[in-house]
Amino acid sequence: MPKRKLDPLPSAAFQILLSLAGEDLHGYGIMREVEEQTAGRMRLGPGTLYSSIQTLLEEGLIEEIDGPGEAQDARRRRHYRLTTAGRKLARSEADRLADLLRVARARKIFKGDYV
Amino acid sequence: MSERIYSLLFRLFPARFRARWQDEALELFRDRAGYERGFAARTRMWFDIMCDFAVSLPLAYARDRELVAAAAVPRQDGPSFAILEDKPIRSSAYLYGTVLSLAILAGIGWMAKHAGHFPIVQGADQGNGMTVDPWATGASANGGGGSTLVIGNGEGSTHPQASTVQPVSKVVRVGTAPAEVPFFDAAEKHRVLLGAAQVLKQRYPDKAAAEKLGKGLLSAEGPLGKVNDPGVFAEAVTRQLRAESGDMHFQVEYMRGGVAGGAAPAVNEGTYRAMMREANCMMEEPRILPQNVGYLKLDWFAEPEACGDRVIAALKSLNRADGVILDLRENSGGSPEMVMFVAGWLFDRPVFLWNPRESEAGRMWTHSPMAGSALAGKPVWVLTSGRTYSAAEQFAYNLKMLHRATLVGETTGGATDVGVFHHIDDHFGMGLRESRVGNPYSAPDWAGNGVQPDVRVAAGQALETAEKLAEAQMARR
Repeated sequence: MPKRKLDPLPSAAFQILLSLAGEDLHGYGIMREVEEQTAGRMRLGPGTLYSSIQTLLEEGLIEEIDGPGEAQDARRRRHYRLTTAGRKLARSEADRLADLLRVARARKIFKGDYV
Repeated sequence: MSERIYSLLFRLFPARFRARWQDEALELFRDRAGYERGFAARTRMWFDIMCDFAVSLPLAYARDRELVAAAAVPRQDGPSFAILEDKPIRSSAYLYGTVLSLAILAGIGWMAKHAGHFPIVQGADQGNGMTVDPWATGASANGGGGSTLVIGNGEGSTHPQASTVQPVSKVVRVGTAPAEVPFFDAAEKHRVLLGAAQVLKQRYPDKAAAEKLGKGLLSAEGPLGKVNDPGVFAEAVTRQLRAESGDMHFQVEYMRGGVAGGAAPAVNEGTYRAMMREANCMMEEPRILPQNVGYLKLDWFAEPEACGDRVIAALKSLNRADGVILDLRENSGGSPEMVMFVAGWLFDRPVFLWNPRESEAGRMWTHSPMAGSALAGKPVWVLTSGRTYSAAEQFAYNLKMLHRATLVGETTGGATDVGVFHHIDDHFGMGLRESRVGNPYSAPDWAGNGVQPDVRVAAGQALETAEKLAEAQMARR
């Protein structure tokens, strides 16, 4: 597997990492969280969601855990948790974006002074 | 229901991806379906799913290929073989594969037989084809390419042959399997009408009338379009052309087996000649009846090249008679040249024989008087029946118009003699009179109507009646 798969980090993958920064979530939870944090702009469909999750799992950026509930319950959901590596990558991506933002600000991209 | 649709859609993903994520994706779908209720939310959900499929399907496959490529690392020392699936192929998959292959194969076979306008098999057989009668015209000097056809007025497109002997080698049946027009739809009807208008424009001698007839056809597309049987459609177009022009020499034909390609089918002249001669050129032995009237039963106007000498010999043997009875009751037509020849034998001066299949007036004159003929001026009776067709009708009509013979029997068949049969498409063709020479007589010719006898009796009694007439005439002398 080529290591450079998540370089640059796709925005869907980044959003998933961000959504898991607060708490562990199952698939639908991730979807809702991403939708919320992008103000409804990004709604991940199953294809995108699970292929991103698969990649993130393979890269060790998130991990699967059993969700809350009885261990015998067959319908217990799989949850996903951010790993240390994932958190680190999310942070560096956020730094990169912050750098970009600084540059944009310096170039007076923004009108007014609300940022 | 929607969950089932979703899981069916999910099957579009690569097997590996499905195996890993299907359950969770279904779970996600259930969650969404549970939370997002109402028409707007549901519509948005499906919209999302469709967009997502459109985007992620190609990606998923690209990824799958990557995996395969990564797994199947090519070896340096030759081809390698890698098993990428960890499970064996299900036996039901073999079954489905077999069934699907057979279905596709059968589908291709069916399409080959029924779809498209191009008949795949076309050969000589006993199918319901058209009867091409290549030497029935001989004339059509400006004909160019195209097969020549004599079309009977009766049912179907074949014209009935004499019952006794038939020039088998020359009658070629075209088309084997009854490959009907596969899609006889509005477009095909339009094509046929356009094609007919085109043939009219190119071939009909009266250009103004051709233009008008073509326009008439296209403006009648509405009512004609309601006819859904191709054969009936062809008849309707024929009727319309005849009614509008007053010219009966129009025939639009539908051929189930497809139109023969190219020119008249090649027939071995030697074989034809041999067979015709074996059949005594479709003549009965001429004889002199007790009234000293010659009797010649001619069932076919064979080509002069093959049978000229035999016919001359037969006619000569009747020279000493005081009159002649020509029996055309079973004559289904043949060569206009032979018609000219036999008719010419009866005159002592050149006469004009109208022939709708001939384009030049100069070629419609007989070469009378003819050497060896002693029949010029002697009374002639021509026996006709409802099975007298085409060239035989031309013979009877002209002799009647020239007041040269007394027609005894029934109204003739009324064949529509057309010069060259033009292809409109693979299944439709059209024949029309291409002669620029009009019929000199005011009486309509035989096309569609037949020739009326002078003495109307049943065909079976025609000979007897003619003999009585002859006897009476001889007695008057």
